[in-house]
Order: sequence, then C-alpha cells, then structure tokens
Amino acid sequence: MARVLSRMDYVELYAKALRQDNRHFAQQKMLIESQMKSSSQLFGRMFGGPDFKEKAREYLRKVGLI
Amino acid sequence: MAAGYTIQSGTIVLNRELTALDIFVRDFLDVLKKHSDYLVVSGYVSIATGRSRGTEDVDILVPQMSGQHFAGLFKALDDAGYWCYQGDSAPELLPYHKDMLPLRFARNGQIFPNVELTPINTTKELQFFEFNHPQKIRIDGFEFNAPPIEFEILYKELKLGSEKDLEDARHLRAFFADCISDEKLDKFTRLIKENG
Repeated sequence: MARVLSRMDYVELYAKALRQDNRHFAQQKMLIESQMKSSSQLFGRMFGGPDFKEKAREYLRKVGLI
Repeated sequence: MAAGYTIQSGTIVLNRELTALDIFVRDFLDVLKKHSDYLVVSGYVSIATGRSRGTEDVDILVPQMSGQHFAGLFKALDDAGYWCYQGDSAPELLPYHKDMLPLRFARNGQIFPNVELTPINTTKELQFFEFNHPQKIRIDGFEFNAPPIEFEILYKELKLGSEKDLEDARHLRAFFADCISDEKLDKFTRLIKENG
C-alpha cells in the first residue's frame, strides 16, 4: 500500500521540483502576493483613517506584538 | 526550463522574478544600508529561496548603534515612509535598541509585512558569527546578505525547532542539496552546540 505523504514530504518534494525547474516559482509568487493583498485589505479596513497608528497599536498590544 | 538557482562567484542567484515581499525588503534595505550593515535571517531566507508559505515579519540583524547613529537611521526610515510599532521618535525608541530589543517597522498605513530589526553585539555569539559570514543572494538584480545556508539550516533545526522552522530547514536542505557543504555542516553544528 502506498505511504501517505506527510506535510514535510511535500515540503521536500516541492523544494526538489523547484531546484530543477524555476517555473514553479510562479505559484509561490501568487501565494505570497495573495496573502499580502488580503492582509493589506483586512487591516486597511480595520484601522484605516487618521488614527491608524493608535488603533493599530491597540490591536498589536492585544495580540502581544508590542 | 531553467534550474531554480545558480551560483555565480559565490553568490546564490535565484532564477525568478521579484515578488511584492522582495520589493518590500529591497526598499527597506535601500534605506537601512545607508546607515548600517545588516543580515537578513530566518523566514525570509527560506521564502526567498522558494519555501511556499506566508510570512508577516522579516527578521534583520543590525549591529547595536550609538544614540546619534540610531537617530539618523530612524529619521531616514521615517522620511522614507515607515512607521515603528513601538513609538514615534528616536528618543522614545533608543532604550529598546540599547536593551537589545527588536523594533518593528512597517510601511505607513500598513501593519504587515513588517521588519523586525534586532540589534546584536559580541555577546550574541551565534548572531555575531553569522553576521560576519554573510552569504550573498541575488534575485533579479536585488542582492542581500543572508547567513551561510548551512548555518541557517542548523540554526532552525538545533536552536529554533518549531514545526515551521523544521519545514524551512527541510526546504533549504532539499533546494540546496547540490551545494551544501558537509564540512560546513559539521563545523556549524559544533559552533551552535558549543554556544547553545
């Protein structure tokens, strides 16, 4: 019976594929930029406006980042 | 089809386009480099070399600075459109830096991604070692200093050890399988264990 691939197996498989074929970088670029865009939109909606820093710091204190 | 990377005169050249995250790091380093040496470490090194995961912060080491030097860097970052999570003026932030605490900077109006700027000095032996043995990485004209790949792998495996770090290390081992030096792995393993 075939072994089920673990998350770590996928990490290694993807790295090996990427080493041989740089076209796989296109997928990675999409993932990174999609995350950045979503994050920017989300926090822009939450804290947008003239008191951005004040609201952002309140949030950052709550989540333990400052 | 091209390989994911090549090595040119000791520099790792990644064969890909810049991402928005690379551009964020490049723009920040353009300001930082005018005021300080630096080393980009941890998650961004894995992501820059193809690890397919998101990140919120980019870890950068800088030598601990004098108050005047720090004020110059803070002003340049402020002028370039970055804000600091912890405060709005150099005098307010200098105590963090003097106490070797990291400061986080993001673009104005944004929270993520951010740069976590961590001061180092000779008391931080491992960070000081990697800082003084930079590996250059280039992506589409953007070049930055990272730790030796073998050091980065071992630091993640032996010092950090979270699931995410172990996955990053596995990625680096597989992606750079053609050029990883066993001799360096042995040397850095001893170094990290001795300074652990």
